[in-house]
Amino acid sequence: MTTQAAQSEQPLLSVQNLKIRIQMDNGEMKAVDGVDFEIHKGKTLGLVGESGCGKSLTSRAIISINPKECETSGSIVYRSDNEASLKKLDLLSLNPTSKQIRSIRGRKIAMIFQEPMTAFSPMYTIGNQIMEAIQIHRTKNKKEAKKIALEMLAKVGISDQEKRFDQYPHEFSGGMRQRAMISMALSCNPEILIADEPTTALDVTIQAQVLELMRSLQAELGMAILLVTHDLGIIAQMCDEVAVMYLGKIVEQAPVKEIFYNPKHPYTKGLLKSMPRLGGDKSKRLDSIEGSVPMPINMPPMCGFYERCKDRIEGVCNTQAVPKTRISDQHSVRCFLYSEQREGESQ
Amino acid sequence: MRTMPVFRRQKTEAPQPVKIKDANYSSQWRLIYLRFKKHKLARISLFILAFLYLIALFAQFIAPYGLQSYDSKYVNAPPMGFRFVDAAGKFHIKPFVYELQSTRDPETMRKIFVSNTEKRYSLQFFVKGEPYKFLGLIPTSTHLLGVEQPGRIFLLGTDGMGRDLFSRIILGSQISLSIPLVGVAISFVLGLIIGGISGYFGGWLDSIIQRIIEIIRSFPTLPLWMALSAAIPPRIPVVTMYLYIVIIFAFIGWTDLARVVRGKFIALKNEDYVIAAKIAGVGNTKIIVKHLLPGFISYLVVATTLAIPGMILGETAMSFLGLGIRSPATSWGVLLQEAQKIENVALYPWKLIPLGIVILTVLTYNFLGDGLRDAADPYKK
Amino acid sequence: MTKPILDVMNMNKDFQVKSKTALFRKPTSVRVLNDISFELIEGETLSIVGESGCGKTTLGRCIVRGMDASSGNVIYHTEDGQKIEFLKLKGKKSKQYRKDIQMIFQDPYSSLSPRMSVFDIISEPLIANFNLKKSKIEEKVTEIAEKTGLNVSYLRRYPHAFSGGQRQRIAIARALITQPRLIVCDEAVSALDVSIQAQIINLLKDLQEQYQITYIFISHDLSIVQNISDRVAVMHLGRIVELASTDSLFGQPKHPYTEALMSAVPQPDPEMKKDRIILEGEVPNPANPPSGCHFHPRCAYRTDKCVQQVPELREVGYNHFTACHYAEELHLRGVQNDAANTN
Repeated sequence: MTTQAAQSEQPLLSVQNLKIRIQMDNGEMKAVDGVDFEIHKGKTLGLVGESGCGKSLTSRAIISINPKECETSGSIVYRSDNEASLKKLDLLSLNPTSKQIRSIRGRKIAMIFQEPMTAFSPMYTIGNQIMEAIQIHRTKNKKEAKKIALEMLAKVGISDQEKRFDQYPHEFSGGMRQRAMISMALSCNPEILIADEPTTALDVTIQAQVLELMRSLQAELGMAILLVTHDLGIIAQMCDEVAVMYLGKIVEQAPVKEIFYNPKHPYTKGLLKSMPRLGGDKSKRLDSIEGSVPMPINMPPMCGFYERCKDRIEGVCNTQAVPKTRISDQHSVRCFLYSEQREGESQ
Repeated sequence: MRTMPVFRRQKTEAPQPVKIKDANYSSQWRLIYLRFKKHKLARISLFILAFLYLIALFAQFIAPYGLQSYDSKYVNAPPMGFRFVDAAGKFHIKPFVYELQSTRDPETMRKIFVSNTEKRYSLQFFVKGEPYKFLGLIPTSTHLLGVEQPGRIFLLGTDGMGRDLFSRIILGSQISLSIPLVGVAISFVLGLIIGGISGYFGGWLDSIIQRIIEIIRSFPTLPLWMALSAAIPPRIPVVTMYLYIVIIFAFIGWTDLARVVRGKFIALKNEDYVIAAKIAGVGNTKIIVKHLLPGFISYLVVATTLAIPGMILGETAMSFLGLGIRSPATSWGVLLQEAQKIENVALYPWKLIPLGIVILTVLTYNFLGDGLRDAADPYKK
Repeated sequence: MTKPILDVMNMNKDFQVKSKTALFRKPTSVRVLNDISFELIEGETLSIVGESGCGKTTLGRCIVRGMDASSGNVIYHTEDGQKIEFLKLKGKKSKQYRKDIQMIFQDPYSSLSPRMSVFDIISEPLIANFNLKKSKIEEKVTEIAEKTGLNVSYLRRYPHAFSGGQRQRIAIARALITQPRLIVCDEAVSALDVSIQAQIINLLKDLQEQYQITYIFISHDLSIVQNISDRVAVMHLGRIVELASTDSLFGQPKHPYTEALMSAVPQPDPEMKKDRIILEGEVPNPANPPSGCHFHPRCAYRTDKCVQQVPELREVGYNHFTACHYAEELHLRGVQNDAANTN
């Protein structure tokens, strides 16, 4: 898998053949099974999938914060474009507690979570915690750090920052807390922001605010975003490129318009069809995907979607591992329906 | 290469007879059992405890001597082990002990015991000894082990009155191991009823019960014990004394359990599935019996198990202070009280063996409680 | 055709909030339901939408008597035309009619007792309400399990053996077993994955067709609401601010809050215009609601009148009710029903 010509620029982060295995009582669970993707400067990559597909584990593996039970292999290469000392570094090869990864975590790659309450310590004020992050990574000067922290709070749309600075997390509402977390994550000008279901716990009107905020901050600061979500609506509104995950594998990856207007994988198609949308035809039944997601424990090499797939080819899809097929420069899919097309291309 | 494990055949599968082993068909108790089985330390503890209680149950039979028997000839005798090889180097199939003779140390003039290698008494099983009632019912005088008359066996030595420590530890375990069980059983009932009322009805009743619990819990236990045992007349039979002690413990112990019950009751009362049952028209009693009780009974078992060590220590402490069981009746606390002089540590260290037994029991109960706690909610991931 | 099944009349619900700072102060009360009235027609689906804390879940629970309303009335129209005060039912009558209104909960993990087998869960309402023979119970449970798409051979299993979607089917089977006429679905599909969500929505629709069930569908997801409902009530801070048929509400909303809610839904269409209405600020604290129209602090169209006067829920179009002073003047954006979007 060499870099494609279409993307002349070097990616900030390239994940290759990422595998995460968890030993369970009844066998080995392949939670993430050979995931590749790249994150480019200033772009947003969406990682979409249903619960248990491995999207959160994938995103957490990047900054090595998965629990110890996760055996991780593969490579996650980070290329900083402005610091020579950090040139081309395999994050997976670093010790999760080493100084080097800590200098990247938070400083270069920041993360926001679904539930901001757990990301803040209830014992310290919001301002204190943002300042701490700044003092670790940016400046030792306390006054300066406070100034930056206040600026950040203003930037994420928290009014009355001086007062808010000295408040505790429980005094913030859900939306405000999420804003505060974004301000903490962005306080060190990271190059990559990983957002794991950042708005799932929020109401729609607040969700709209937070998404809008993320978009405008990206335009201003130019960071890359890895957006992990189950909501195709958010993907459509936020992302440049989308990777659809199912059962630990990326089954389809393409620019956002390709995914929505020209989906190839039966799972992607099924997902799009099963989603009710505003303004949709009410009288029509929703096309649902039959069955439910199996547990990826002791799974033989076969297509994980086989049992639920309408277009499955018996004897093909359930007997071998599905290779990745390139539909076009930027569109790849893991499905045997398209694998003849692969023959034509030089791979 | 491929072993092809069968993958997800749910749909094609024909209805099968129920496999009992399948976790999918397992009830709450079975899941708890399966989880508990994985906790090694707890399992070992369970075996040790079962062993200890078995000994306590057959204490009179196992102990070579009774409570009343003492021999002023053998005061503070050290533990003696069995021998197979005699002083002359000859091997005997039957284990034996030598006769103990007390002499004086020629230098310090302290009383010491030496083995008289002339006299051998071999070990015997099912010997006739002091009469007692087996399991409190059948009068008999057979003991598990002893030595030929007129020899004596003191496996763990003797105390200051020449009583066999081994027998006393075993006989003492009857009281020390059963008081907490009975005490906990009474607190269990009290806690269940009072905590249940508090949690189910709520409101002012709940407030009053909670305040009472807080008041009881805020008493310092030591003065409380002293006050309560001062209220107990001094010359009463052991059985009555025993009952009083149990009541004292239950009086303090139920508060913890009542709190657990109340907390679980309140949490479960608002669970969706309880509300669902209510909406479905299920009656109140049935909701309590079918939904609430099974929901917290496992937690209650855990809380109960973890309450026992406290009671064992409590009984020990009370007897140690001379407030509980008194000689010649015995418990581990009584034995420790008798061993409390500092000279014992230096001269007669075997008198501290009961301490080891107490520690062992408390530890195993705690491990068991730990294991149960981990298993109590098998639905949590 | 339009036979009423339930009238909710002036329902109020207050929660007592204990003061944490003062020892002896009287608990303050927060009004979470404020004068809720609506009528339900047999066989329809009425959705109740709103953001968290608007009182929609409380409303659902008060109707099924999972919670006691502080005041107000619910009139239940029985099949033979009797009118019954549902909230005041007691004893034998209660047993007779309460089974007609059932509920499906949001979280299929907490709504099924983990300690009972699926068979016991589904049969529980049956045993509580009818005096049936064992074989008859078995027959009924099997029938309903088949209807809800459950594998009958798995009925002896415990809930932990099932996935979220299957659990929700079990919950639906339990709600259906007493043959209720009305089911309150409280966020019944919100906890499920998209592909499973569609299965359950379709199932609910099929069952409605088959058994003529009336639904009260409580949800925060407008896309699903539009798909499933005949009429929609929008709630904001304990009040109904708009109530209309689905087409009318989504086509021409008359309340600025409805407009903002619809606009905030992220659409699964990358080319959709992104000029959304983004409300400023947060949902006000129900313990200390704003004066006048509760929505005025976040409303782009507010005037002095909105700050001072509470708007009443009034009819502004055919069966279209709204609580906004300027419902007639404002021209609010609805959802375009363009077929091009639905492939």
